[in-house]
Parts: sequence; C-alpha cells; structure tokens
Amino acid sequence: MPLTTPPECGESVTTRPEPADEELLRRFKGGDCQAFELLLGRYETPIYNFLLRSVRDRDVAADLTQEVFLRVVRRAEQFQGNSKFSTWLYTIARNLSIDHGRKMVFRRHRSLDAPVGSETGSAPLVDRLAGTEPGSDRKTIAQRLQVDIARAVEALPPDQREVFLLRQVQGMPFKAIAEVVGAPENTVKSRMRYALERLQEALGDYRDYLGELT
Amino acid sequence: MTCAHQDRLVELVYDELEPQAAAELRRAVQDCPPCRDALARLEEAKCLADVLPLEPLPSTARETILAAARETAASRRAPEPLPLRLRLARSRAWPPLAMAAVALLAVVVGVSYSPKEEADELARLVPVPRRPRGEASAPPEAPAPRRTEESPPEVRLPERPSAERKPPDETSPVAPAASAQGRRPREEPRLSRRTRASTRSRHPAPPGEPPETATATGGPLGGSPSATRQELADETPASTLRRQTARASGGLGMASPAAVTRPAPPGARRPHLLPTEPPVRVEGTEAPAPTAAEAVEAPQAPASLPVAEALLRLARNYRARGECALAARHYADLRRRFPSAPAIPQALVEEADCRRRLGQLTQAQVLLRQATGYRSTEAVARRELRRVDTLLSAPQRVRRVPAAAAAEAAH
Repeated sequence: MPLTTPPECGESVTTRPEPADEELLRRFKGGDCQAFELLLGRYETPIYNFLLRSVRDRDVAADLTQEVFLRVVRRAEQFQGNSKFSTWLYTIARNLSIDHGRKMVFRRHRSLDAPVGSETGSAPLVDRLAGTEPGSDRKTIAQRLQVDIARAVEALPPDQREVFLLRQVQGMPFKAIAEVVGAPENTVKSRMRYALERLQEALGDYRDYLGELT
Repeated sequence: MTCAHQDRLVELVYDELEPQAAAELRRAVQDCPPCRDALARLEEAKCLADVLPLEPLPSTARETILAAARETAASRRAPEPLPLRLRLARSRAWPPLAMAAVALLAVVVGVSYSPKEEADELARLVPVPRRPRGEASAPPEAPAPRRTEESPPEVRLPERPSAERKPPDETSPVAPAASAQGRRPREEPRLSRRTRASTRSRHPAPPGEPPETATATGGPLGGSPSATRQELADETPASTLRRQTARASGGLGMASPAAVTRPAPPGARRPHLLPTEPPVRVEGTEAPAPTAAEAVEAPQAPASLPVAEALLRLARNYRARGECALAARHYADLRRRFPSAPAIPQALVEEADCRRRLGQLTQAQVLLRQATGYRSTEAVARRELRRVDTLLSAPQRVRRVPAAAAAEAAH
C-alpha cells in the first residue's frame, strides 16, 4: 500500500461523509493537518462562546480558546478514545475557565457577579456595564434580546451557566455534561432547570415578543 | 414543584426522552397544573435561549491555532520512504547487530577452544600448512602420490556424512545398539571445529568427485570400518599377525581391500606426516617401555592421524605430570574415537596404569585384559594384570586410595 502524504492545512477538502471526531483526531496524530482543521471548524465557535460567556471578555475568551486547541494539538497522543472527543475538549475548556476565574480572584479583580457597593440587594456590576453594541435606540428588539440573553446567561451561577452553555450551545446530552462537569446526571438536569427558570425570569419583558419568535 | 414529573421536564424540553416516554410524560403533565406551568416556563426560556448569539472566534486566534497544528503535523508526518538500500545503510540497527555478531563470534570461538594445553599441543602437532587464500578447494601443485608398496595408501580422516555412507548397521556393529538408543552412531572422530575445519581444508575432496566416505577410505583410520573396539578386544595374536601382514603388504594394517585397490584420486595432497617423538615417560612409573617388537609393529606414524596422535601425546603429558585423571580421560577418548589406531595397545596399558593409580582397579583390570590381546603389549599387560589382581585381592586397607588421587578422580 503506497504511503500518501497527508494534505497540508488550507488545501481543498474533499467532500466525504462527515468523519467522527475521534477519527479526525487519529488522522491528525498521523500528521493530517486537514483533519485538525475540520475539528477546529466544528468546535471553535462553541468553545469560544462557552468561554466568552464564562469569562465575559472577548480577548480573554479568544486566548483561552487558543489555549484549548493548542492543548489538543500538544496532547493529542494522550487521547485514548475512552471518552468522546467533545467531552475531552470541553473538559479542557472548563478547566481553563476555572483556572482563569481563580487567577482573577487571586488578583482581587472585582467579580462581575458581586453586588455593587455594600448594598446586598443592589444589581450586580454586569447589569451596569456599558455594552459595546450600538445604542439601544437603534436596536431592534431582536438585537436587544440577544444582548439581554447574553447578559442573563453571564449572570447565571457558574455551575448552572456551564451546564446551560454545554446543553444549549453545544447540544451536549446531559449524560455527557455530567462527565464534563463531574457531577451526577440528575444534578446536571436540576442545574439546567434552575438556569432556565432564571433566564425566564430575567427575560420576562420579552414574553410578548416570544410570539414573534415562535 | 413537588411533582415527580418535574425532574424529567428538562429532558422533555430538550428531546432527550424516547418518543413513547415523551408522549406519556406530556399526557401526565396535562393532568398536573403545576407541571403544566413549569413545562410552559421551561419551553419559554428555551425559546429565548435559542436566540443567544454565537460570536465567531477571532481570525488571529484561529490562525495561531492552525499554525501550531501545521508545525505539529509536519513533525508527526511520516518521512518519505527511502529506497531499501538507503534504509539499510541508515539503519540504526547495524551497530547493535555488529556488536551482537562480535559477541556471538567470541562465544563460538570460546566454546570451540580446547583447554590451553590441549590447544597448544594440537597446534604443535597439527601444523596447518599455509596456502594462499582461495586455494582451499583447489588441488595443490604436488602431483598425486603414487601408490606403491612403499607408500601406503592415503588415509583420510572421515569426511562429512554423505549419501554414499552405508547405513550404520552395515558399517559398525555398535550401530544397532546406538540406533536402539535413538542416537546416531558416531563413526567419525569428534574434532574441535577448528581442527575439523583445518582438516577439511587440508584434505579437500578432489574436484569432480564426491567427498570420500569412510567406506571408501576404509574407516576413520584407514582400517576397516567394521574393525571396532570389540573386535580389537577380541583380536587374537593370529589375527594380529594377519593384520600386520596386510599392513606390510598394503601399507596400513586395517585398510580395507577397497582402500588398498583404490588409487589415490588425482590431485590429492600428500598426507601430512606426523613428527615421531618418543613418548614421555615418568621416572618411577611402571609404564612398559617400548619393546623392539613394538617398535617394529608400530606402523609408520600414519600421516593422517594427527588428532589420534595428539590425543595420545596429550594423555602421556598428563600422565607424566601425574595428572592421572586427565590422562585417563584422554586415553579413553582416544580409544573411543580411534578404536583401530595403532597406538591403542600401548594406550590400553598406559591408561590401565593411570586407573590403577587412581584406585580404579577394576577398570585397570579390564583394560589390561584387552591389552593382553596384542602381541606388542601382551607381556607388559600380563605383568601389570597380575599386579592389579594382587591389589584387588588384597585387604581393603591396602587398596585405600590416597585422598589426593580420589579428589583428582572426582574432579
């Protein structure tokens, strides 16, 4: 069987049935850069948004996303295939996110979830931050909804937020989420239910708009 | 929310239930107002969550990741297959293989080496003629020796087994016993690898002819292949006389008619003549001195018996040093490997002397009885036999073996 040189990154990708993530990673371990490009295309946006909603900073999220995939590149040989690639990938991302949160605490950054001032009942800082989006007067309702949803998600407790993001953004089953976060499946479902209830409460103003969405 | 169904509402919202289970749960929720309200809120929240925007990864981060992946993939990519010649030349397995080969060669050489004294003796007695490289199989320049009455027929060491060899039961009477034991009867003397190699190089098969066999050459020592140790033991003076007559007429005493009548092959080398040296004697020992009859009877040292002669001389050297165990072992080796050698009678007597000194009187007695069958050693053997018989019949304390001799024998 003649040896074939793996295609370089950026070469044209032939149209074939979608290979599994594990198969792509195996090909990448054999030197196929195109396989890794496929993997990156599948997961770059979910991972970036997962981290973005966790750290609430685009630059930090981009750096963390870059670090996630660089770890995949470096530790591809360590992946034994005992779990799904997505589980492994999101475990890396979650650990990086947690490490980043600990560093922020160590550097005494103010938590965006912390109440402003000494008033316990005041709104958190995240609700007072100025968005980078265009002015609200020019926004459509949909655009405002997106901003508010993002803020509502970012305002979720970390354990609920990560479950929500994994399920909502990545579409990961609850069983796989339980593996990623290291919690029982029923706990994951409960966190998801609490997260949805919080979102529903936070976005109550858009209840009338839901009819247009649906 | 105390209803048990509410824990499964999330699965219902995200379609993680089987269709049948989902339908049953929906029917149950319709009958439970709290669950119905909870499901409505969850579905409403999910609809809002679906609007959550997904931002793309910045291109710089993507390019950085791809660059790292390219570099890693290039390092993991299998190199272009080299031609077989280059792969073999660049193979890192050569140094270990070379070292293993050298180690194996050293082991082989070490195993094939005899003890130093024996090797020195063999080297001294069996000089290897030097010849230019590449002539190992070519016949020498010397013409083929003519077989005359004065020049005995060439006696060769047995060649390797060939198709011409007769079955063992036809060549040796001891063969059936060996075959019965599942062993191959040994017909050729056991030589060290180096000696065997040098012997083969010194006695190459003539070109165009198959290598000579023991049958053609008349046995390992030029005698009849059927002349075995047992026959020698049973040899009577009359048969000895016949053998000597045949030797006088045909050269070697036990040469078979085939060997006598067969002309030497063209190109055959003249056999290497052994130096004749007097046997080493030890003062005080009672080894029989060579008699005139023995001197007459002893054939001209067969040119092609370097190993037998070497063994005999080695045994005599050990005996002269008083190392009777080693000497007896070499005598026995000589008898076993060259049962029809001319020096066998004298070797019997000398080995019997060694055995007697080692306290192995019974073995000495047997050896001496065999030696009495030879004319050359008959007198000496009888005298020694009487002495051994006396020792055997003596009380136990007289036959007590010295501790040193016992230790040497045990060794």
